[in-house]
Amino acid sequence: MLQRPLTGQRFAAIFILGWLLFNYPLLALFSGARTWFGIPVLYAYLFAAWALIIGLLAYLAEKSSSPDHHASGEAPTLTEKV
Amino acid sequence: MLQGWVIVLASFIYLGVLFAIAYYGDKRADAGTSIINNSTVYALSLAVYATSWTFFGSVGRAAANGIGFLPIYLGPTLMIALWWMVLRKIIRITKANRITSIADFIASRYGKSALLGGLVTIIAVVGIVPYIALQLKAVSASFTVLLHYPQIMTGRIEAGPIWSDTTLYIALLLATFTILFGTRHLDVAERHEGMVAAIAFESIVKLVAFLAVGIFVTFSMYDGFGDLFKQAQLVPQLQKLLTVGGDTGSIAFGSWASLILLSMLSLLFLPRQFQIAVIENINEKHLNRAIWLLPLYLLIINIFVLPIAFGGIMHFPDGSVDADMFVLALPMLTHEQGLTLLVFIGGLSAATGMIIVESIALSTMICNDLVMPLLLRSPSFHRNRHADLNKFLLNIRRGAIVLLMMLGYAYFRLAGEAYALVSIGLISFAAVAQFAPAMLGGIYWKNGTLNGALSGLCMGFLLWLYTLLLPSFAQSGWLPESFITLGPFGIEWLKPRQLFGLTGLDQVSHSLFWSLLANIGAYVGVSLTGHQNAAEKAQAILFVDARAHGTLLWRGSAPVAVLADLLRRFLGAARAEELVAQYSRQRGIKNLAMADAELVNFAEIQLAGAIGAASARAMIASVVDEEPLGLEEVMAILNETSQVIAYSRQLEQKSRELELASAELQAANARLTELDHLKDNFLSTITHELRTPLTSIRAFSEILRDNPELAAARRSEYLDIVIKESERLTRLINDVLDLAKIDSGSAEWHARALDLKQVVIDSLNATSQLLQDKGIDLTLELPQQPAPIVADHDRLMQVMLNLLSNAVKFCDPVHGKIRVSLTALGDTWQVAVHDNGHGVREEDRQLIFDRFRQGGDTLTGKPKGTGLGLPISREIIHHFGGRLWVQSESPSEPGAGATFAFTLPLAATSETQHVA
Repeated sequence: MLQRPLTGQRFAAIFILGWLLFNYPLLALFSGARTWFGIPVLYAYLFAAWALIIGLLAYLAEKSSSPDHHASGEAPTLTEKV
Repeated sequence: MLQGWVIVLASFIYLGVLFAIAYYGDKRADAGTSIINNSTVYALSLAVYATSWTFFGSVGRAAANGIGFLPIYLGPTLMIALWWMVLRKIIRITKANRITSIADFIASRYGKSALLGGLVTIIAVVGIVPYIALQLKAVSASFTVLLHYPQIMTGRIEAGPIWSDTTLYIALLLATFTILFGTRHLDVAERHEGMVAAIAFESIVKLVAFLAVGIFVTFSMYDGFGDLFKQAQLVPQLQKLLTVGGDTGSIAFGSWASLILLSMLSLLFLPRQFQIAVIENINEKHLNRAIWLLPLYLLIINIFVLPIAFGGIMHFPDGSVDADMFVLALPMLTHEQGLTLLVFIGGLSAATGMIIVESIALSTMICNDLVMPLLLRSPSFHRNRHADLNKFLLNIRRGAIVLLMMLGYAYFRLAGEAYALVSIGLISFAAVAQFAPAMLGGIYWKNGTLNGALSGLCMGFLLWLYTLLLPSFAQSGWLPESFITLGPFGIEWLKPRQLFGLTGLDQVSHSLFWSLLANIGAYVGVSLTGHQNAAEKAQAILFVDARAHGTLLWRGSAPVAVLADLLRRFLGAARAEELVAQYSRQRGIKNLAMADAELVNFAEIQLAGAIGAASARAMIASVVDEEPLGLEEVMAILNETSQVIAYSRQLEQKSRELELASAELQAANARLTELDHLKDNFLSTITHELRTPLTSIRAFSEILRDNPELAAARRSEYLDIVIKESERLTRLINDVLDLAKIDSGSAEWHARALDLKQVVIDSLNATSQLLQDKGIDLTLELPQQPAPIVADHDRLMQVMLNLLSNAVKFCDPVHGKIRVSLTALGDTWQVAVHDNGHGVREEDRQLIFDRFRQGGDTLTGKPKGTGLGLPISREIIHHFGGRLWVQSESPSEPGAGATFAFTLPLAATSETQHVA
């Protein structure tokens, strides 16, 4: 039971992290003509941050759907039976 | 080589494959072995988000705005993080209420309002038309570019007359395909398993095609990312494409953020996204995979957008080729026939995917939320109500699909040419963003009202229309140019792109700001000042507290036959029979004649699956004798609640009483323990007291037996002792019994009117011999008149004899003096017996009234009584309402003596009453 609200808050935290990474002012730090190993820094930064967010999402989503984690799937059916 | 017929043939083969997949998917679904009941297929089908916009448009956008193409894909990634909370709730609500579209959802939330459902449908249709035009434009442009192969077409083609316009035929072809595809039969739940399977397949095709061209450009035309970007650095115009914000950036931070917000809302509220994510969702758990797979898909498909755009700009620096067509033009440049065809098919798949799902979703909305509610009002429809509606509904949908495609084509002809693909798409995004307040408010805010949603949507839609759609007509010359530059009728502050003089925002952000401001403002403002009716309130609770189960707030009854007939007309005979049978089987009911509220509700939900909630509500209402929740039902519900409250109050009171009782019990228990302790004491004392005389009796009896030669005088002395001790034993036992009787309340009392003076005199007479023997001087103080009381004569005698014998025992052994007095004290009589002995020690004054307690040192002195006389006397006096106590002068003064006194209440005889 404790897991459910926490999962929601973790996703919300990822959302906030993503919003910060993808927007001004953090974005401004990488908005220049520089390159990393020949790749424009803005292009590299955005895709790296994006991949990070996806990684976090994947970790959290797959963790909460693993078989030993019943909280996500079982709760709605329980309430439906009531 | 890539002649027209090859392209057309390839296109038809591709569409044929799609059709086969859909057919197979439907077959499997009917057989109960769904191929789309799989989280990966679900995630892939969600990638219908990537349309021609992504496939062709992103490159065009990147060529103009550089990295500015990306927010449209970052937004969904952020939105998906909130899916866990938002989308799961929407899915639950949708499944519980058999909702068929986003219009149905919003209408259901605000009291199943047909008006609101219609409004949402109109906004969705008008809003999505540019989006459909975008797809048509992309397919038509790519087809035209391909037709000129191997020549790379430069410049724009002038649109000829309508009948020679290939775009029209493409639109008609796509409409036919969608009709064949999506409206073959009417599904109760509006689910299209075959379609979802085909869409998932299309997602793979467009991804593979785009990656192929991306890899080709990056690694074949250039030597990897590093080489491509190095060459791009030499081109000055490409420099600013890789910066954001500031004066030199390709896109302002504000526009960047508003695009992210816009795409976030679009992922949730675009009708086709709602259709795939919510309506076609089989299992809520599939979300777990989609949450990361869809963003990953979007990331992968976007990696090569910038390289292709840069490659295109570097190869066609003069701007002769439309940047939207770089994807196709670059492989053509190097005569890669196979790749070119694959790219065309990929673009076709991106466009058809969007068109199929979008037009199925919109046609469902048009049918269920626009046409049906209007039809249900028309009398002619009711006149021939026994016709088979199943076919009729399908035809409405087919008509709606054709209409949508024609509207899309019309927009393409009117305004499409002037815009790049992405700009057209953003107009649609801004339109569906208008659903956000009513939707999100609807599932998280119970107080959002129907009027609030209506006014919010109206305001938002009108402002969108004015600030974004109409200028797009003006831009393409369909409206006068001055509409944008000077404002309507030259009114400057009404300029659609600088409303009220607001400048500094790009047109999409500007429109989004004004429309959402008005939308949210009206929604919240009207909701806060208005009222909700019962149906709205019930739906609001049902939606916001989605986990709780709704009570049936509508009651009604109808003959089962009528309901079954209704179901048959809309769902077809077989399905209707099956549903009714299933219901009876589940509920264990046989041969139901009248349907109860529950069955009515069941039928309504089933119908809602076919014709939408608002229409189902109207249909059911037409056959069911149904009243909205009346005052009585509300009172019944309230009553039930108040009963529960009363019951809980009773429980509280009971528990308080219990607490009280348990406290009493505890006290009683403490007393019992104390009494038990006293009893133990008493028993040990009494055995001790009984043993003392018995021991001496036994001792002297043994002496008499063992010494027969004992002198006669000695013998008789010993016998006297034995007799005296026996008497004492008898007395003791009598006293104990007496006390026990008084204690247990079983003593016999013979209360009657008495003269206390007489009792005193009687007791003195009884003891006169004893007093004379001891030579005690007796003083008597008696009143003249008789002293009337109510008491037991023998008992009182017992008290008096006890007191007198005590006085005799304890008075001065040589010059014994006893004074007995009887005096009237108010309404009581007091008897006092005074002796001149050594008195009672202070600490003994209470003790002597305890059982077996005697004054003085019991260890040294020989006991002079049973130790029960005074306790018994006190009990007796208490019984008759009096008091017995001792008062003693200072015991240090010998001869002060002690006074035992008792009072008894004056008897209320007729005589004394008279006196009083």
